[in-house]
Amino acid sequence: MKTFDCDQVLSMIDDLVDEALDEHDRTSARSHLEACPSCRAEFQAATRLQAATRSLPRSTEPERDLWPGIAHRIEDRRVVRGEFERPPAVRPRRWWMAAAAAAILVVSVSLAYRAGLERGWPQTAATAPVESFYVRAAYGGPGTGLESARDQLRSSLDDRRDELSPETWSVVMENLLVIDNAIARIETAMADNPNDGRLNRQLATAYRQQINLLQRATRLPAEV
Amino acid sequence: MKKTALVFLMALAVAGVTRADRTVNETRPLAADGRVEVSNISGEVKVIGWSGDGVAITGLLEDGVEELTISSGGNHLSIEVELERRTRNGGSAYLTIKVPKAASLDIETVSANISVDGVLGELDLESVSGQVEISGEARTVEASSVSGDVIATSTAGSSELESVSGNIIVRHASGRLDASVVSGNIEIEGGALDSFDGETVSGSIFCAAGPTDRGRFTIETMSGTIEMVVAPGINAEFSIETYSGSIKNDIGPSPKRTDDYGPGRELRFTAGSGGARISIESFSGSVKLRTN
Repeated sequence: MKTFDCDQVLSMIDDLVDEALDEHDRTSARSHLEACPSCRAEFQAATRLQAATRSLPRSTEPERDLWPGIAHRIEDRRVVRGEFERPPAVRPRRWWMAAAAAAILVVSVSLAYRAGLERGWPQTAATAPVESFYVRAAYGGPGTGLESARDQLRSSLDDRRDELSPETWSVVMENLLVIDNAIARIETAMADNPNDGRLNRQLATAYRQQINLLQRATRLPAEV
Repeated sequence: MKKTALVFLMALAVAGVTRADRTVNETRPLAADGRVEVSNISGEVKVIGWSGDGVAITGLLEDGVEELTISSGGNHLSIEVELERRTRNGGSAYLTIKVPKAASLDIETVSANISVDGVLGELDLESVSGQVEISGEARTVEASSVSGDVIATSTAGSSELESVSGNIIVRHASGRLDASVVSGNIEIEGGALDSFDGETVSGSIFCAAGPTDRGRFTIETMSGTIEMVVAPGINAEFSIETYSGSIKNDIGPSPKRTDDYGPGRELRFTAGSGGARISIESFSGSVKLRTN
């Protein structure tokens, strides 16, 4: 049996909780958890998060149009840039909490998507203002290039809805939602780490993918 | 009287079958390095590079296809399937087109599958829900589908492959490869690439192809998994980062935390003498390096 140290076990906790490890790694990791209270606590926190996430509805038909309220909350969810003093490092920050917040946001976005879809358009977190130095550099920042391009493309695509088959429309909408969820999760992470270059890069990539998909969808040949 | 009616009905049935099963058998001249444009809605477009002269078009037009329009001028040939208005979604056309090997192609379909074999010019292939399949050493390939798979075998030039929810599957490729999907998966098997840029949002990436001596790989995902199979004796610098995913490395050192108090893992190491560069990045997806 392999022997894992704390770093190795922590790096595979997600897979351990998801039961995605092979048998040897799972046995070794569990052996480490039995002897290590710190890693065990992380594992238990991850297990609780997974249980909480699974209890969230995967697909919910809203009883009423929830979008206005969600839009208001998303609008308020701007990333605030600035210098922050790190709190005393008494214990590791519970990044699971941020992950849980992201999971809840994803569900909120999904609800918004469903609500918007009934009216013809997924209204999602990606309609929120953009605030990231990579995104600003790439697209010109909030209120300028990116948002304008996105709005124009959405409008163009909306005009073409009757030309696309329901199946194609559904694929495009579902994948825009996948990207929007990704954007929401990155932005949640950036709330804790606003100057993380990696997150900024990934956010810029996600916005590029969103624009690319919108561009492709608006250029598709008519099906109907 | 009954006999006459029966004959009449049989004649109608034969006419119907003929209408439904119209065959195509046409040839047109084209320069060896000419360009062929094809537009089809449903069915199949199969293109084969050949050593013969000009373009040979064979196939079948189902009921609902109004006509097959073939027009040419100079270095260019256009083949367009037009459907009857009343059956806009109904008629399929199954075309096999032989073109000079050095020709270039511009093919657009809705649900029709596209396959191209042995054409060496510039290939621009686009489908909405059909599968796009390319085989052979074309100079450049741009191939995309929204929900269909994109499959490339033995490509050698510069290939840009895209799908949204379909998969991208590449076998024994060389040269440059860009592969991008949203929720589909990317699977690269065999071959040695000068460069590989692969990205997904939620789809997984499996890469069992190696870089050339100075090859550059950039592999990114948001939440999908990345698995790379590394050949023994590889000479490459690896740089792997993930925000909240895991990193498992069977071929070298273990990853390190990037922050004592938050998520984040990174792994940088050199295998052999370096030379090639492999950069892998994920937000929450797990990354695994392993040998065969």
